[in-house]
Amino acid sequence: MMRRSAIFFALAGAAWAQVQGPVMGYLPDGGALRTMSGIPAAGFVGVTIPAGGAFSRIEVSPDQTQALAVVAETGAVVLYTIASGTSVPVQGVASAPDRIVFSPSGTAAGLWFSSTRHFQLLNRLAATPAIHEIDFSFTLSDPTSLAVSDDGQWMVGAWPFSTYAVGPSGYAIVLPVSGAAEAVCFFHGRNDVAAITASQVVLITDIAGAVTPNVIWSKPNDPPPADPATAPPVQVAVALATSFDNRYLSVAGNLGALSTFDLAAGASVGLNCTCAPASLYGMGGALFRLTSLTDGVVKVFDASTNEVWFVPLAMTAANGGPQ
Amino acid sequence: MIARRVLPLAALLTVAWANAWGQATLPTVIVSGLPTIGVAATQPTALVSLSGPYQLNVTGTMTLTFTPAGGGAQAFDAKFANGGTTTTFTITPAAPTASVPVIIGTVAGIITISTTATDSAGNSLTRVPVTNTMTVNPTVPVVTKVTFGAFTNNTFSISVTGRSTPRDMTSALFHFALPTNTQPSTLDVTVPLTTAFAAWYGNSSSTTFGSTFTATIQFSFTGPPGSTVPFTAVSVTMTNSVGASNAFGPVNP
Repeated sequence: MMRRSAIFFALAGAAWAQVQGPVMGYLPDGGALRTMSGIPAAGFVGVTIPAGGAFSRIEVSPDQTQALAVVAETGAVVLYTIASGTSVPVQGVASAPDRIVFSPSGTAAGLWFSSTRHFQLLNRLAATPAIHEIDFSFTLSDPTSLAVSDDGQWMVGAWPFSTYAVGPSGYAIVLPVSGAAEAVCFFHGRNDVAAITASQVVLITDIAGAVTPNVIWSKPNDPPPADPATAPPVQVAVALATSFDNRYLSVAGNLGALSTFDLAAGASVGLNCTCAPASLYGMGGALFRLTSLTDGVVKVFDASTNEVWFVPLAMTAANGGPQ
Repeated sequence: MIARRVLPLAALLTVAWANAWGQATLPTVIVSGLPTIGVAATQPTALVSLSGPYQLNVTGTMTLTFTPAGGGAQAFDAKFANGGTTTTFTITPAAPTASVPVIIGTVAGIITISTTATDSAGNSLTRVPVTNTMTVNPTVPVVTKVTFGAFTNNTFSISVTGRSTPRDMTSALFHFALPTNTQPSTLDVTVPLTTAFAAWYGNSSSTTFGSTFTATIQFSFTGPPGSTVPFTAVSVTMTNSVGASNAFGPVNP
């Protein structure tokens, strides 16, 4: 053992370094991708990167290495690798999905087709993934939320009447969620699920086995408004997501409320982003993108510090800013 | 012609009415909420209000300039949240306070914000203070992220992301925790970085990034056959001309 360490030390000292500008992640913008550069509190949205085709939609994996895109002309789904700038067709998937869903770490994905209420579960992000076809035609409507596990073996869909999990057996399991789930998510690398309803946040561990629910938050029983017509608008969850270390579970509401549960400390914090979050798009660590490029600025949320940051367009056209 | 005269007359009457009741006809514009010492990589919000109630709408423009402590130009560093160095605001009787977020950036220097404002009758309003100044001091580096590149049989890389407000860096200390039963149990490797960072900060393309950086350090090692990850965790400390950062980590590969 002494010999191994001594050799390691001698060679590790002979290191070289390369310095460049940080890349926070990538932003879908009009069927293309823009680089989000810098660090969250001091970043900027930069140039459009060549994505190898014209896409009607493109979604970036949470690890920011790949994207799934829909070719504008044909509706074909392609897998775009950001580092190489190359895209390949994903074999065996139907064209023109209405929703693209990534697993928390971006190792698996799913495609939702509204017209047939059909879900395709891709077990990995590759040109030839194993595809699990799941028929949800019995639901008669689109789900309010979808999630995929990192191993690509499970998916969860939330409908107003039930929250279902479907695994390798192909059978739908009704998860123990009390009420209509507004958003669902998987934990990173685990078959554990979180769901939020209008009145509860529930963690459901081991959906492949024991399926054990644990309510971590319940809404107080507020009296109903005297006049519903003049009552303030109700916050509805648009997304639920966990940080890469599974420590932080965050909820984004349609009116801008952000709530984060520190599952290690057993505490929660909240703030309002003064924005309308589209979702909680994972960007690695505890960083999430909240919005698209609206009015020249993107908002990102760091769940570990409970802070929201502006990330504006670069100031010059050469760097991706306004022409 | 009558219509043209009515509007200015109405505005004048409003101002005169306000005078008669002892209100300040032309209130002072007050900008608050901005610190005098700006912390790099923060986004404080300037709150713009008037010294008292006012019945006219007020529109204004704020202009930001940044003078780097190290000289030269850093036109892209400090800015408003809209990404530019000018922004506008509106104050109305119904919304008497405007919020203007400021992105401080990551380079040591002085940020100066000047404000002009005009009411809907065309009167220019004075403001207090005349300009807002925030000083961003040179500080030790801050490491915000450590990631790992691909591990092969004898090499691996570690990427360190952070900021260094003086725009320099001298070294990085990597504190490795080695696998169980290895002697010693830890290993410190210091990598000189003066030349690499001088090249980066001296490159014009780096100005867009302020002082933020991602430094990728390549390591090579020799270990037992099949050994591809020669450590169990690493902590990183960066040192610049001001001093050493807090250690970031430990981070597991």
